[in-house]
Amino acid sequence: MQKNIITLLFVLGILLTVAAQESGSVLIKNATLLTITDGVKEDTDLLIKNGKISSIGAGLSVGSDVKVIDAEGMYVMPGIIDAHSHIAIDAVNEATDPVTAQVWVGDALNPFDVNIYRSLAGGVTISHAMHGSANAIGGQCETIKHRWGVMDPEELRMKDAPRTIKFALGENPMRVHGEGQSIVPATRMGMEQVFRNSFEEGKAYAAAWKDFASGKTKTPPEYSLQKQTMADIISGDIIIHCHSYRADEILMLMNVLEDYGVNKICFQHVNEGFKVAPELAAFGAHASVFSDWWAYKFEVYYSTAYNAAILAKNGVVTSINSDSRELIRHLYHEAAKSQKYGGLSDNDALKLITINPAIQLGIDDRVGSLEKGKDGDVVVFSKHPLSIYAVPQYTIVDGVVRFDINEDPSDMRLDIDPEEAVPTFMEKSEHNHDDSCLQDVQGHFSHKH
Amino acid sequence: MKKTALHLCLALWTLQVAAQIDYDVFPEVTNTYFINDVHIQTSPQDSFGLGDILIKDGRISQISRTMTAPADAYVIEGDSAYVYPAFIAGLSHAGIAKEESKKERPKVKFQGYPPNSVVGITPEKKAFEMVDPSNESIKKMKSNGFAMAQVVPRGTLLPGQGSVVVFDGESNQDMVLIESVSQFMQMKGTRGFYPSTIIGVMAKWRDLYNQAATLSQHQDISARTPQSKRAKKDAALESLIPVTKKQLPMVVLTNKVKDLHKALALKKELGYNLVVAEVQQGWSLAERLKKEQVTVLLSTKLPKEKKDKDSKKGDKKTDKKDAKKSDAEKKAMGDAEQMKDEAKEKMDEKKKPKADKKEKPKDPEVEAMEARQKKSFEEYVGQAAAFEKAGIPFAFSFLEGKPEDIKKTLGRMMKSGLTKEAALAALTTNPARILGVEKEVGTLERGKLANLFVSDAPYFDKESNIKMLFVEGSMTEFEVKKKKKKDGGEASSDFKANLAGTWAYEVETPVGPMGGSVTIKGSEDLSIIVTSDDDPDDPSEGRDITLGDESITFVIDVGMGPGVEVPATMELDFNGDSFSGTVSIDEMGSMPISGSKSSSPEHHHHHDHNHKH
Repeated sequence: MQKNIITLLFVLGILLTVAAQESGSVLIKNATLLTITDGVKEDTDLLIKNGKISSIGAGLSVGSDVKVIDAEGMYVMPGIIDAHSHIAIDAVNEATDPVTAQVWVGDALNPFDVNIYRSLAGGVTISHAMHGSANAIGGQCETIKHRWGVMDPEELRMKDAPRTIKFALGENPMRVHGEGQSIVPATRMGMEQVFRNSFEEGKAYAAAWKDFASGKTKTPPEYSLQKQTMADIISGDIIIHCHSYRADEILMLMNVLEDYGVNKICFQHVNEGFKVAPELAAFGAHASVFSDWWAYKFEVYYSTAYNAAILAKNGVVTSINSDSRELIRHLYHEAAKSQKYGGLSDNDALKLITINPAIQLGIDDRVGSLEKGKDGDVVVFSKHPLSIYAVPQYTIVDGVVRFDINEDPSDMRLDIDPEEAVPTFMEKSEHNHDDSCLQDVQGHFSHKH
Repeated sequence: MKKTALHLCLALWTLQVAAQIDYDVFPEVTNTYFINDVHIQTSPQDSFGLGDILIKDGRISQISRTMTAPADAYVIEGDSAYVYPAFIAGLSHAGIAKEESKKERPKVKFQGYPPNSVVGITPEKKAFEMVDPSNESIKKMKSNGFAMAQVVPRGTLLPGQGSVVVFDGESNQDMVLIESVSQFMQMKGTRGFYPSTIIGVMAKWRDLYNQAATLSQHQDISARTPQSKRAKKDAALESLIPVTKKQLPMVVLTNKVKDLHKALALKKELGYNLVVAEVQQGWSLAERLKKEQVTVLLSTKLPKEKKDKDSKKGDKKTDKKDAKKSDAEKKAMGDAEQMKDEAKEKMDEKKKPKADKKEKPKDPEVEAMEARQKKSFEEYVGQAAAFEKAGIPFAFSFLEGKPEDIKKTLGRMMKSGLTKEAALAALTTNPARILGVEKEVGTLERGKLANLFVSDAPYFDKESNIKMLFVEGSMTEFEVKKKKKKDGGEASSDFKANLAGTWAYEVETPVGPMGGSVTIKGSEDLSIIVTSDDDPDDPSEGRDITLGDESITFVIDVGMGPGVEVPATMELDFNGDSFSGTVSIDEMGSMPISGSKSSSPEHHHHHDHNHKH
């Protein structure tokens, strides 16, 4: 009887039961585990207890209160991580100033964005919700867990994930501010100067507060969240994720960072990364790329689908990202392209969407592989995830089944407008087919990413 | 007999005065009134029963059953009418005129560093300074039983400080009871300038708050350290210092649940006292708000009842049914008997066989979605009841809901479970306590300000009318209007006659406000042209135009980038020379729009219109 009621609740699409619990327990039986860090384990069980992977082995059993998934013939991999996306946020660009280090998209989390659920259907459990690329130094980003069903934006955050910030090179900031406002940066030379100025301000600001704290100065400096944020980057508290395409400016930024002793950086898009792969590896910079997407504006013409493989083989920690609410649903296809273009092994291809993006976000101690003690974020595929026939069956976040292909009602809305006509279409919103780096920028900048 | 004569005399004289000069405030002569033989609701819970009230020098001098009228008192024959403590609006713009929408983009050197005034940061202003005692909105509030309000300035991010005013006095100085009672914040950006988006707004607020706290620290140090660096003068920051010291609460506009989460997160981070205002979707957070001792001002704007839409668009059969329902709903104004009747009616309706429904079966998916929407609708209407249940002594705000709809709104809330006591408390004792004036107002007690209204029947009765209002002992009488009979959704001719012309609008988009104009021609067969200030050469023509009671609904195509247009549904509710409503774009949701008439049609248009009739 109780079971019937639970089924009924699911059928009605009421996710309150899910929303109420932060973590859960699940036993997955008889699966092929793609652990990423410890090889492939066939016919093995994986137990998630109270949100953490508690054991991996054969013949595991649990009490009748724990959900059991029989995954015979199926594949289990760590939840996919997208190091570059703009889903689940209500604002992407504060495009009014070339430097907006003080803003934070974590202030605009939107737990009601149905793209969270859609990305779960593609096996993605974590995404990096980023500020856009309108500004040289854009806002701080937020690493979110796809806990679809929660109403409180706070519950989307991956607690204790390191702070990250968006930088951007090249045409976008030059166009928005140089052309749009007739101010610096109008050229790539100007770009460098914007970074140097801001780092100098951050340095001076930290020094001024230090002097006040030590009694060297009697009165406090004027508070500035922007300068404080720059100081936090210098002190290594924030990982930079920098929108970039051309090799020359990638080298430029590495030079600037070196001057300020900053080394935590992941270049995003980085289409010409293959030209400077050894330099990136030597600096310890990471790269997060598209599989095969380019030529959408002038600075993105010189590109190759071998980019990911070349970077990876040169020892650069590389991931493949979506930057799009459509691509985020099949990142496992995107990763598979690195096998056609570059011949990466299964495990190296899967690293591009699991442990590597985890490293880039500074969360690899908690997620990105199937290991005892890590978060219970896993996805169960019908076939090997690099097969074009693979379909995600269950996506589990902290031991809670957030997507189950067998319990997938058509109406997944969480926040229902009491007045608005019931929306029933997709086609009308085609203009909005992906969340772009230039969202919220006013003007006529139709080029994206 | 003598009393009656005096009363008659008084009434005639009032009429005469009203005819001669254009206000209806009874001139104060002896400052003494005696209201005879009325039912007295002394507080939300307590009724004195039948008695007399003596008002002297603006205060309640006595409430008694055995008093005789003093010789110097104007005697008001109560005639078993009903007296209530006058209402207090927890938040309002009463008396503060709408700002002209700015046509020209301000000249600012850097978008990223605009002057405070460009982005609506004026926390140094005080609301009462902007109050015009003769503003129409004050009259409207008074005629609906309100004697007092916390008023806040209009504006953008930090419009200024809230003041407590009473609706009596010849100048705003006369009216103000407390000059500064709160600091008001709306999490709104200004398009094209920093902060333009919600993320900019949150960051800017953190900056301002921490700058104010640092400035305060600097001031303290300077005061005790001779020859130290002087603290800079900054009126805006200085006006925020009391917030950082928890001497003034922040009143934050929080319509939706996401807004509430943002306001709560900022309170937690920065640590000030928080009042959430204009709350429309807060029921799921009631317990948390209570735990974190947040003061709650619920919105009086409820989702529009579906019947309006159906009777415009639906087929005739559903029309009739809904019309019947709507009458029943109108009837249910808290009167127990009527509520019972209605419940019975509903039961009967349920018992009826469904055979008479011959419409083609609906798509079950759409039906399921509509059922969820209905549930959502009920949650919005039931919010006040949910807060009562959670034990939160809330008041109401009137920035979006109209004070003239208050009785109807309360009726809908009470149908969803709000008790009469809680409804009255939300308009009297609760706001009095929230504003710190509970010793002066909120109940009818000896010594308190004589803020009360006289209703010809129990207030919540459908047919009751407010006849008279006292504000600090000063009397205003209202002409009891005969309800105009509207036949089935027919728009009033006043409304239609006033439609033609050009209306300036402003839409609050997620990236800041956008302005433009709506040009309406005709009064029956309307033609509507919408122009955006951003792109004045590319107007959009309205289609699917539906003329409602005092509203129009239509669809326009809006540009979303080069070559991309999407339909937007505009729903505008008109109120004299202004309107408010929503612009809905699928997937983007709906955005508030408001506007006012900027010019009337040229003469020949009017002529054409007359010809048609």
